[in-house]
Amino acid sequence: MDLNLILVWAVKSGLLFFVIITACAYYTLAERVVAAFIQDRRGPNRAGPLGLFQPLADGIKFLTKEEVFPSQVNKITYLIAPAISVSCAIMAWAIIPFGGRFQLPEFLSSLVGFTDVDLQVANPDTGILFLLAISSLSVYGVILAGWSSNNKYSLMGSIRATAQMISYELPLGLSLTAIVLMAGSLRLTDINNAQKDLWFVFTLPGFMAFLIFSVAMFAETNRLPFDLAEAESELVVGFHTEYGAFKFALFFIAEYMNMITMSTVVTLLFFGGYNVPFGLGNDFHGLGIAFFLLKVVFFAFSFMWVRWTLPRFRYDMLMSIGWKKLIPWALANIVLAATYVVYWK
Amino acid sequence: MELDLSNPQPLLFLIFAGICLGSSLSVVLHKNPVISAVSLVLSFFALAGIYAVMNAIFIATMQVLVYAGAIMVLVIFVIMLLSLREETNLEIWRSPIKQAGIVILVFMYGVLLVAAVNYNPEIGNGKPVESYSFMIQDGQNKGIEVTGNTASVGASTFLDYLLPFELVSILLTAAVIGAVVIAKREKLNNPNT
Repeated sequence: MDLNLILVWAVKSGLLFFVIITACAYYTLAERVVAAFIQDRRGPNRAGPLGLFQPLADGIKFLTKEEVFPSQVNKITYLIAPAISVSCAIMAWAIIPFGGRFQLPEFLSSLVGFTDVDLQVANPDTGILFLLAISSLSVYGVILAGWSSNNKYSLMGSIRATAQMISYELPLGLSLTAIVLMAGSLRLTDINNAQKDLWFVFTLPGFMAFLIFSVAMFAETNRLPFDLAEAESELVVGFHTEYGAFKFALFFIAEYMNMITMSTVVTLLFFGGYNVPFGLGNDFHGLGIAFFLLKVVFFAFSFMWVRWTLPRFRYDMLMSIGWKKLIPWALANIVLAATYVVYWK
Repeated sequence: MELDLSNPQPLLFLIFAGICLGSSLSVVLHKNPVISAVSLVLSFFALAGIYAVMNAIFIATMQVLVYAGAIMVLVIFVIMLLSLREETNLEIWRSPIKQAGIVILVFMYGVLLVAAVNYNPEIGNGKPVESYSFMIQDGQNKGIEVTGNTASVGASTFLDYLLPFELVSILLTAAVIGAVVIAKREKLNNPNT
């Protein structure tokens, strides 16, 4: 094992961590600004120019608050639950590719001994399955938070959230199967490269998969219109009712990070990833990364747009959509995708 | 035992095996059933780590996805809903002789493990399964060649082990139908519930 390789991995992970934490911080600010715009009022505008230092102020506030432990909580699980949530959210980023292979500058390549690096921390053979595995692990943060808080609202919220996340993982995975069939590979870079000429969303099975995925993705991230887990009018805020200070901030960061992850996954799987449209760029291309980020920002915006526009579903409606509508449609779509691959491609 | 950076597999194996053993002991010995179940998740995770060290990346992912991600979620869910109290009659483990016995057993197992790693050269230099070609019995190549770990596992499942795979599918289908039938029969017997 080359020491330089380990160094490059460490640098890439560190950079990625810094970038996504910053992105999360400004996503929370963007959420409040967009909410204000949709509700026709002014958002946060006091801290710094245009309120740009608001996330910093929030972070300092979270860090300096008193660490409260409610009585009778199970301390171990109470503490590891937010840690599980946020580490699963960060782990998912290990396999997201941001671009092709990046040519290192001359002085660096002579230093480390190779000329180009992937703009991706790891590229395992199982690609998208790894993402599903990590997202299925993030359920533990929710379950343990609700159970250890020793609070009926927390427990109810966590049971709802868990049932919802388990249910919607199925349509999520099944809709991805259609894409995997069409791309012929699980690797995210291969799926991206398969869309050089035609984005998958412009094919019939791809479009169906996109519809199913986009519904399931809102449920999987526990966002409106599916945020039954934290329905304020019934459950206070659900599984993190008893959490304060930075422990709450970790849940908050995890939620926003998961939304950004989902936006990148939609971009990579359905909307051409980091390919430049019309075949203008072939391998690594700054323009490709710019297009990729633009698409990610659009889907991140759509999360906020939906949240401040649609009302909340009822719990039985949520379950009936998941099990009785999305799963049969996703199964039919797999057959459609297989037919498409065999006869039209 | 040689542990150098050029071949980190034995070191990683020992780390994951240690986590796996420790969390498995915690499953058996911890008083709180929820903590036991969470330890079992950690144990599955460490097992996936061992698979990954042996370059079986597909099996490792599946281990996390199916066992840690799906089955254990349901187990924890059920334990939570049953609201079990902490186990109190664990007095037998409090006797010092038995505790010493456990420590000695764990120690001996650790010694065995290190010896096994030293003895078995396969763990140190397991090569990733990166390609697969289907051979019929007289050694003639049928022309199906795939590359990549996942593709190799998939091709091998559907060519070499097709019959066992289909049998398992039938078994699972039967189990699903059985579950539905049992659930529906309860409802037929008590229409009010």
